Amino acid sequence: MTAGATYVPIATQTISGTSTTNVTFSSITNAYTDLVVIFEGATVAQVNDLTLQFNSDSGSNYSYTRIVGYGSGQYSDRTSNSTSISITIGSPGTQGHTSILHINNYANTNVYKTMLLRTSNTNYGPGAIIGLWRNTSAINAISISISGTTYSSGSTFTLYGIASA
Amino acid sequence: MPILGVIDSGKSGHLVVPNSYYSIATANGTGSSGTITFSSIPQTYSHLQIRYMAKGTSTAGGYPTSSNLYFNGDTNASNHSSHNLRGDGSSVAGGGGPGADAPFAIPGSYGSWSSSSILGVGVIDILDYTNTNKNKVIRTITGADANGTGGVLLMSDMWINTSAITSISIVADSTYIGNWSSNSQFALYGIK
Repeated sequence: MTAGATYVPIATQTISGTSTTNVTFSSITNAYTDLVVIFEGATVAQVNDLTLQFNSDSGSNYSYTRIVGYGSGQYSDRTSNSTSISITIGSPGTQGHTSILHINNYANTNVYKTMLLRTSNTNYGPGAIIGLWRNTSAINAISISISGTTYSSGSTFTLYGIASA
Repeated sequence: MPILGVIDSGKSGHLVVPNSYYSIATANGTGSSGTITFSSIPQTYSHLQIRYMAKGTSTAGGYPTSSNLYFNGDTNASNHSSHNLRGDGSSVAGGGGPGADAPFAIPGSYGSWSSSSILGVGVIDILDYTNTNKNKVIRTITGADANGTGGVLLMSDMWINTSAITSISIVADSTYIGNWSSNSQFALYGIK
């Protein structure tokens, strides 16, 4: 067995001011096996979704399945042939939202990319999301966007790289 | 090192403690075996994490399918207690109990899953694996999506044994998974 320290912070973006609607990590190196993105923050007003795209692809090449628990029940839903993947639940707003996004084998050009997410909307409940990007390209850019409002100042997005032995 | 990158209460700076997460080993599927084993696991970490991308070779129907996580060669299912919460895009269900399998929600090669490009993914946390004073607790988040079908699953498992974990075997369901495909990959990490 070989061993080495990994789970390396690649970049952090901390929102300053109240004009940002998109956060993009670009020029992502292929040096890792998996990527992890951690979002902790809020939006200035309530928003339907934070939406995820890879490599600036805005085609209908995404799909995702969610499981959600909230104050009085639970549900699971699916979106197919979508132009992005939702990485939130329950219309996040000013009260805060956390998402931990795993993108395993992001540079493997033989497979479509599947992402796995744990999320929590402090004003709604927890959820988990599995998402597919039907593209075999290595992921070199990750964009997380909102529409109709902006990210709250102080919201953070951090990208990590994990390299396997 | 927070498990799964659980974040602190701060709003700035890095959220994972540097030099606390180590790659131990990686195992790839071969297409001819349904068992992945990590053995001689170092006892120098606090927790273990397995990150995987996987699918099975079986063309027999059904999703999600189950697999088993065995420790130290103990294949007795009655030494496990497993529970899960899963969503399939239209309904939510919970299940499990004493002796239950570990439903990893990894697809075989059936129907919508026949494309070799579509695999399931997951993250397994094995907590306090060297502590000989308590049974071992495992949690998993896993799932797969095939643009119109799929599911996501949260699972807890207890191995009713106080031994330190020195080996881990991930054994595919023989009917619905078959063998681990050659593009499956399981990576084991240690967390200080």
